[in-house]
Amino acid sequence: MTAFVYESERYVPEKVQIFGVSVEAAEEGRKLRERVTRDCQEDRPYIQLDPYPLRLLIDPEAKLIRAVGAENEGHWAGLIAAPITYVMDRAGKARWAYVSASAADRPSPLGLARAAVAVARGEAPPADYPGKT
Amino acid sequence: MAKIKIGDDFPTAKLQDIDGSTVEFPAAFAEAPATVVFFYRGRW
Repeated sequence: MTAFVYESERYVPEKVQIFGVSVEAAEEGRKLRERVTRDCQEDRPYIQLDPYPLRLLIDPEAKLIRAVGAENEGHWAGLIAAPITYVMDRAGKARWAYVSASAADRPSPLGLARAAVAVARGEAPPADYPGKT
Repeated sequence: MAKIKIGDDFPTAKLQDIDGSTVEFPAAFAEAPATVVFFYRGRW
């Protein structure tokens, strides 16, 4: 989540919207947003956070998480979402994806932003960072 | 295993955000030229 906020200067001018989905309760999501906001205000105070560059969504029964195949049933905390990232176009088609191999495996913040900006401009995602499916 | 491949449609879903507003897919995608959707495990 932090990477999206820190790279928001790439997303906001292109009007890219960002949603994060987890099973977490709203209160935990608000705490996460507050921590990320405070970090950003301290580290990069020049970044505008109003309106906030992303929205966190709650999927308490993991219906959407299961529908996309992101469920992790074996976690010690119970069912959680495995990290998967999609860039969708205006028509609702997946144009780029990064299916993480583990919790530590995340897409390059810059590579992801470049893919999203390309899709927003009606272009193909950059071939030099095709994601991982 | 991820079920959505490049070129696929996103599943239909209706979720609330952490502030109580409702977001419906796929209608929400029409509101921006591109949308990033990331699934995350939470604070663990």
